[in-house]
Amino acid sequence: MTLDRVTGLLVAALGGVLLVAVIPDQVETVDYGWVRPGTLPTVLAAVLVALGLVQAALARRGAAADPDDGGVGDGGIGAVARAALYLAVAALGVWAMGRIGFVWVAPALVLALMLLVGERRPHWMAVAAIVVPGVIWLVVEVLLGRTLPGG
Amino acid sequence: MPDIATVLAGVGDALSLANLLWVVAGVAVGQFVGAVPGIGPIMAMAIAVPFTFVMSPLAAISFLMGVNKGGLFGGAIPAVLINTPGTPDAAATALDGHPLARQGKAPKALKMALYASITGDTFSDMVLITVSAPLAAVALMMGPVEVFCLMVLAFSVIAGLVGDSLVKGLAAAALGLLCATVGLDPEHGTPRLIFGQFALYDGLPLAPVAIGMLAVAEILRRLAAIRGTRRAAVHMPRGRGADGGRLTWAEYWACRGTMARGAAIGTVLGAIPGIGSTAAAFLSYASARQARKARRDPVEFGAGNLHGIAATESANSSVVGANLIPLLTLGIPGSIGAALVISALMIQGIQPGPLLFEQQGRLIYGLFGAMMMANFVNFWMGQLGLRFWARVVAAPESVVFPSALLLCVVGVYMSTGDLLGVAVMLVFAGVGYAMTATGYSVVVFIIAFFLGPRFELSLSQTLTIIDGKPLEMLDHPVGLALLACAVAAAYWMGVRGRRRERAAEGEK
Repeated sequence: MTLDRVTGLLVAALGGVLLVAVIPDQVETVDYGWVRPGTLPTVLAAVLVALGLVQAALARRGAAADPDDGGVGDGGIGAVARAALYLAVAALGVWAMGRIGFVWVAPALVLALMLLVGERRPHWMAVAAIVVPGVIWLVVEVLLGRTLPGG
Repeated sequence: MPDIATVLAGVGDALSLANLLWVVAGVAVGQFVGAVPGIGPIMAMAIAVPFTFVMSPLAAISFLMGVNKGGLFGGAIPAVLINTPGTPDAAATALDGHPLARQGKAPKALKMALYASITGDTFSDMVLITVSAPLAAVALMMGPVEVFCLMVLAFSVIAGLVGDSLVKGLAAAALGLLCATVGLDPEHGTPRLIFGQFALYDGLPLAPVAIGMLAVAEILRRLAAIRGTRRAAVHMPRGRGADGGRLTWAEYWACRGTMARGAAIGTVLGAIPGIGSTAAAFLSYASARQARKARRDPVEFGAGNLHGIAATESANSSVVGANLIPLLTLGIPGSIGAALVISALMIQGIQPGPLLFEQQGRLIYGLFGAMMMANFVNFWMGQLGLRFWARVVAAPESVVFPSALLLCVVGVYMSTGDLLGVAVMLVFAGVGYAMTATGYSVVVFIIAFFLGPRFELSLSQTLTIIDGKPLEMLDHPVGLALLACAVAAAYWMGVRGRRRERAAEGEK
């Protein structure tokens, strides 16, 4: 099955889930007015189902995303897995920031990302993990008088 | 006709050394905050407004205008250098600016962005100074029906940006519109798709969505591509003579038509309250793309075409001056930035509106003088700033991208005021990454998401006004003209454009 066919079916499934489960549960039913709360979401979910099915039907065998556009071919599945890992690390860092505070978590987050991508030079690690968060703290908390996450 | 003595006195006030220093300070702050993803000139203006209480009225407005103008160019800097737009209106700048940077032509791309920004800005300032009153009267004719038709026209430009697959482009637009329906519905005020998060009553905020999909997704992609090599984030050419470091007069002049079109689009949309610079930038980019295709430009859009940068930057910068047209003539702010200028004026005890020219003529002509001065300062500081930013991006990408991610987190936290905004940013970073990887247009998604709330509101208002009877549209000739333009644009950019593309591919 080609990537286009898979994504087409996923888009159609997303529209289907929205139509059947999400919209009835998350949108209030109103019986008057020209554009009711559910009108646009329902129409758009139905459009997604239709477009997803059309894409799945028209997908050519062997067709894939264009690597020049940053498609999956650009680095392959390994790059996708690494990007997912970095996103998970960032999410964990943001969660920790809310509990422990920016000052402690930001250097650790930057350091973790640098180590994961293979950076080992001490001076660059110091710049990114100490100088950058330090300057952000100075500008935001001291100069602008605003709070940072967890502050 | 204004009294010449008042005009000269106002311009004289603007040219004082103290005022010049406030403009310089404003532009410096604007360029810096514009270059930091998530913060942007609007937030800097909002923070600065209370401080303007201690300034003279002219110094206060000059400083704020400096921040606004500097910020619009500042947003283009990270867009070009690391494909991370500092502000949503610079998103389209990244489409052609970053490919040029990857070719080692970052200074050329940044200079094009700077010159186009100054050109568009100066054009709209001239329009503001000369014909603001009649333009404001035209803008006032735009009722809800006409605004709805304008939204349809704006949507029709998506036809020019959907890319290779029409189905995927339409799906991206539908998804963007669907995300725009989160929050209170405009007609009944009931919450939709908020999953119990009261913070989403106002909908998904634009900054986290745009920065997540455009900036963080790109940061993830670049981080994932680092495999042991220790490269600089962007290759900067050495020496003044290097091709990538120079933007020749011929290259600038070749973009004059694109810049003129962009400045006209930005000025017209800027004069209409509520449309904003992001819509102007994308509209200008799409129309320039089609125009260059029609001329069989050898450099494709998205591959580092200077016209793409010129179109976007001239349009988004020309909105600044035009936003002041309804403000100064009618007292209606055309954007959040203009609303902040109103609050700064009111702090000083000045009431904007039709009598402003009569009662505060000297201040207004001082403001015009300060705006023109801010354009020169923006140009000068932009040239100086290029050297600073060149040093920043000369650092290894393993340093630049984790730092940029941290800036995105802080910027979005500051703009939304809570970590939910940062969570939204990370979710949409994943969505943006997945969409790019599977060939769905992120730009189309962002345009649809940006236009969505205004589209639904104006659709609801229009149906109420015409009572659901299409024939009632005959009472709205401006709206009908806009709908005709939308059909023509969809045909020209979509149907004919795709036919031309297929013919060009066939020739190859």
